[in-house]
Amino acid sequence: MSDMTEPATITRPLISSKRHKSIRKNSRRIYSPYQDENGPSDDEDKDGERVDSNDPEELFQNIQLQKEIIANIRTKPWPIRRKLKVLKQAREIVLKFEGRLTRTRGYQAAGADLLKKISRVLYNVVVLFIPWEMRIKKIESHFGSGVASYFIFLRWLFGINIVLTILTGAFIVLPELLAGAPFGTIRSKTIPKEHLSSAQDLDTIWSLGGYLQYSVLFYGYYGNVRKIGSAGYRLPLAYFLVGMAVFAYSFITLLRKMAKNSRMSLAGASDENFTFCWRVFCAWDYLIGNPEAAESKGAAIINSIREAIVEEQEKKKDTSLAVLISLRILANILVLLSLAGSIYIIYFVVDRSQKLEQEKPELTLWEKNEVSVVVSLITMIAPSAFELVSQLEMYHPRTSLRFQLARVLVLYLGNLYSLIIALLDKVNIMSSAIPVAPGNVSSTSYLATISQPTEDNLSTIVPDITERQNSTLTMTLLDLNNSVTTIKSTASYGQPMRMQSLLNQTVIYEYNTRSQQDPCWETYVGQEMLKLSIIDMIFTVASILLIDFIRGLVVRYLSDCCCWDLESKFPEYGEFKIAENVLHLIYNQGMIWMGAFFSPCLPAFNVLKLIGLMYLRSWAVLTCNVPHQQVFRASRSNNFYLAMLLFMLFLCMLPTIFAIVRYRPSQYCGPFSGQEKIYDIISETFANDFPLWFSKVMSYVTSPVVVLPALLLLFMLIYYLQSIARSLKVTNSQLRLQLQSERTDDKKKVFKLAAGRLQAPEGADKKPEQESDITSMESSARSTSPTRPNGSVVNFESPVRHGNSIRTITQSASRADVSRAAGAARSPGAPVRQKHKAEHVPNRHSGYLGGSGSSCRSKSYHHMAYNPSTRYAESIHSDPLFRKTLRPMHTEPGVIMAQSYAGRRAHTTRYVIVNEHEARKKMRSTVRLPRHYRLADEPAEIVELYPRNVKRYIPRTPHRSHQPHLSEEEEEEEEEDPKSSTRRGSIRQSQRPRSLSDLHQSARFYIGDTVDSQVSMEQGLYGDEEDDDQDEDWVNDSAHLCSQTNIPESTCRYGEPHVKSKSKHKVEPSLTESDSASLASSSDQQNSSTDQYIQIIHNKEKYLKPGTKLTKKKSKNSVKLNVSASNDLVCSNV
Amino acid sequence: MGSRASSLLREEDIEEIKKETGFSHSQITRLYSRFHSLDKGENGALSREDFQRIPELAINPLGDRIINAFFPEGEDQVNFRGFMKTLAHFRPVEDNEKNKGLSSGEPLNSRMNKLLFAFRLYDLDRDDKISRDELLQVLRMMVGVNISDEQLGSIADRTIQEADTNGDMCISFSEFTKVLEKVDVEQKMSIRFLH
Repeated sequence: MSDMTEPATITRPLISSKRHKSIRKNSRRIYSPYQDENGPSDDEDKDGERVDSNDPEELFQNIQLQKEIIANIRTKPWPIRRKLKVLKQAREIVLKFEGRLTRTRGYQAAGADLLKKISRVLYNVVVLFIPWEMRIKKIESHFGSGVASYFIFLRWLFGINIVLTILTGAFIVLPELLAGAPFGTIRSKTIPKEHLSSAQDLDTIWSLGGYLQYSVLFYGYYGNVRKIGSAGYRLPLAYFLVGMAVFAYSFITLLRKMAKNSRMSLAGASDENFTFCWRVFCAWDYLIGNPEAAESKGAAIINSIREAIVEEQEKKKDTSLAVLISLRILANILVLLSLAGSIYIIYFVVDRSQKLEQEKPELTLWEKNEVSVVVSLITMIAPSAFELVSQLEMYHPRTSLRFQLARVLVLYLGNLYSLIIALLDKVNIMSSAIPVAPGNVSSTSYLATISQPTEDNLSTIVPDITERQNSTLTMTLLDLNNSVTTIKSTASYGQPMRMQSLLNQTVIYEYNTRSQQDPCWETYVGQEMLKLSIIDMIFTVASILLIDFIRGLVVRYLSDCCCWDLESKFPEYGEFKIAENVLHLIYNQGMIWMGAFFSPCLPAFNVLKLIGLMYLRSWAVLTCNVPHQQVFRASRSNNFYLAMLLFMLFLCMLPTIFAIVRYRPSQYCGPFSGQEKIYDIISETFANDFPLWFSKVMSYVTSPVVVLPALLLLFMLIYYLQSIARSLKVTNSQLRLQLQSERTDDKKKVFKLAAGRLQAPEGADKKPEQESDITSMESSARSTSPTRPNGSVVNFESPVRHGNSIRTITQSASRADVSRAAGAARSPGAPVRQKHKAEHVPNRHSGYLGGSGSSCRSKSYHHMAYNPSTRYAESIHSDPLFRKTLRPMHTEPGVIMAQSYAGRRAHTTRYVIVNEHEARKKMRSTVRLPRHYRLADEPAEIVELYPRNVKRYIPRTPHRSHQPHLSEEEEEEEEEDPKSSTRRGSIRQSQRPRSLSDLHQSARFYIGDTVDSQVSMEQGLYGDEEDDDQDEDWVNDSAHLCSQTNIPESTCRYGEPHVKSKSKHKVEPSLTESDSASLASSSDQQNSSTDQYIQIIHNKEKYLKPGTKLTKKKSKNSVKLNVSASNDLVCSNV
Repeated sequence: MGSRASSLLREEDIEEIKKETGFSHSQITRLYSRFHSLDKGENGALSREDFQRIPELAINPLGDRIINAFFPEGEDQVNFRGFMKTLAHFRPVEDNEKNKGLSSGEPLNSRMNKLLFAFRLYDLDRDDKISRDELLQVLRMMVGVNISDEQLGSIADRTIQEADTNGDMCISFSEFTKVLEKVDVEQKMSIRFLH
């Protein structure tokens, strides 16, 4: 056994050592004879053996073996003589036979082996290099794909942030650090004197002031020199372009990932079949040899089964709709309320903090961080509240996860936005204060009340002004201004102003404007975002430790000394909340995007944060969390997260773009200082650094003349691609349908086979050898052999089969749809038609014309069913009349007829065929078609329909006793299934070859007997009417019934005397005779287009109601079916 | 030849096994040494305990079933021939195999035989049908006690429903093959034996 598994184990050294060992063993065994005996005889033996094998492969193996022996003989614990002998022997063999093989062959084989090994090792190495792959796999095996999806998402975000970090780092931060003006050389890079003392205080650092504020972390630090360094790096331009590139890159990667995912999900969707079987039969990986891996695998299997169970339960769940709806409405109201509440609170807090800033010069720690803390608290608490609420709604876990995600996303967005709006408000005040500063006094008063950061900046400007304006004033101004800011005395303030005014009036103005504008709002925004991000991180860590870890510890160790079981009752262990955590990631990323422009190091910070989060989370999950009670399957290609991320990206980009476009950059800090708008850098670059013609070209390109047509073209392109995508989708679904029907075809063949087997007199033998029979089935289907059809007439043993034959009808109906959809009936091409042909075989036989209510009531309907193809008919007293009438019914592929005979008895069962719109027209046209569909008919199909109907509709008939297989309850049970499955829509349903659900479609045939069938159905008249009709034909039918179904005579009250239950051949004649007789009476109807035909109406809502009503009458089973059935067939006699 | 020690494989045996299973000469000798090392009782046959000592089987929830597959009905010893026959199911299908054409019918490593082997793992009572009970038992082996009976039952029901085409609420072998027709059994149920 371990020999078997050996090759698959991954560890190289192990294998090679084993191999080595076993080789040695081999050689020892093979050569052990030498030990006991003297050479000659053995030599001969060996030689003989070797010479025998002419197979080059074997030769090669032998030679290899001998070579190994030669190589290893030194290590053998043999006497030297024996060694020599063996060596000689081996050499001889090698010499003798090596010539037979080309040397290259050996190299080839060795090379191939080596290649394989290397590729395997490489693969393993690659896996090693995927960050956290093992970790995630481990988590996945224990917690299911849902939790794993969080970590995969985290990893993906991590990747994005790495790229963003590289972008900003390489193009902004590094050049600035290397070539920019060093710290302290210019005003915007210098910490003002009076703050220098406090610049290293923890408090300052905490609020990202002091040294941090004047560092590459923030916008304000970057210089506005157009070209820096000896290479002339255009930092401002680079800053702007990178800021945009961050968004562009994020968009592109997101969209690409989404596209890839949707491709994957499309590709994967077709494998929906047999999910359970695969899960059960293919679950275990037999090559697992490591106990730990085995444990993981076991956990994974359990999870996948749990997931399957949840899916299953979800399908079966039903609660009263009204309660559910009201609950859901209630839940949504609650959610909306809490959303509004949280947004209000944030707005309130931001507002308050702004007021506080204006009123109080010194803020406490709490007051400074109030906003961030409140925001973080809300983001922590609200999701839990939402989760509680969502329990009211009783959605499938996956759906509820999505709802939860969407809600939390809205919450986060609300938070971010109220924050950003408040910030922008402030920025607005900062940047638009210019015109408000008319005189000295007012400006001073403003200055006095202005908030802390403003003051800082004010003081920073002062030296600069003096430097520039007048060097002589430097000292005095500096002192004076310092005194201004510190003492805030108007008198001392007035003094410098006067002095300045002496020098230059404009200086005053400039001073005023600067003093107010100088607070670098970009830096301020960046600070806020970074602060938010940091506090968020702290809260995350704290919540993990507190909520998960401490709680886990308490639950684990205190449960013994507590009066109730902590582990299973109140606190329990924490669960990993996927929705919340994913959203948290998205929110976090949103902050990064929002702030990246103003704080270029934010992505780098985020990278660190994500790494920390990854380790902390995965540790916490594995140590303190328990798997979610309800595990569910989260597909890996989950575009939902990504869609939310995209949404977030878009929304986060808006404020940044808005700020860039709307506000004036700070005058004295940052790369864009001195410009009117930030984006002016582009036009400036065009104007200065590009040749003249280029700017001309650009001006043309950006003129409406070009832009408008380009836009139009774009729209057209989008529309075009859109329509192509749509048509591809249609084609796709068609192909899928085709595949599906092909599959059902196969299935049908198997059934036929089974039927064929059953037809053997005692028929109960159902041994599964169908594979071999399939071919024969096929052949019989194509080229009818008369004997066969006859033989297979009787088969009513297994209900499933009945179901199946009915199913095929519906199947073909849908196929017909497809072909029609494709444009013309012929368009799908030969293969499809071929299939139609095949499918119609059974249908034709079972074809039945719905009994008409009034004058055209025909006594012969069911005889129609016996419209065998000519050969068949001939074999059993073919009679022309009969055939004639039949012809129209079955020639046209598009027309599908399903008929069931049994109906007679049941009063109900006439069924119907289904054909679509304009059936009348088609019918007529088809009458003239040559009958090229003379396929073999297997009457078995006909009969198969039979018992089902009988059972279903006529519980009181004696035939019931002949349905040994299903009891009433069983039936019901089965029928629940389709109900659930049909929820997925008709397409899916038809694709699923689940026999049980298909089975139930039989119930979906209704017959309308009146001329206006639909009306009658709606009125629910149908049953009664039919009763009348059918009673008339009762005698006839019962005879057929008896004969066809081999029902014991006792049950056939009306059975014709000569019918023997067991003799099919005898039965047939009687059948056809009676058929023809009755057909004769009805034939005129057929030919004179009074047209009885049957329509298949795909049950849309319109018919749903009548359908249900009807079925209620018939049986409770069918009621259920109807509701769900999307392709119910309604038969009518028009 | 006759002079060899009794524990060694005789050439005739090798030839026969070669014919029967398609293994090469050196594979057979190699596997024989493996067989021999597993055979703690030194009696030329393996018992169930011998198999259970293999760690890969010990940790495999279905290990018992696999071990069972080695033993012919009603016996609790398997000799080397039987051992090789079972292993032959896992021999990869080689390209040149078709040309060679093994003399007697289908080789043991054909798709059908591989599937049959897998099927037997689930068919506890060897009646050529996987019933609900059997499936439940196997599932129970796989998941341990982590999942309630009821839930497991529903899984078994669903599995059978999905695969069952003739309504007997059992999975027959043909249904089983149908289910797995898309699975690359030839590839998955193959083991690269050392040459």
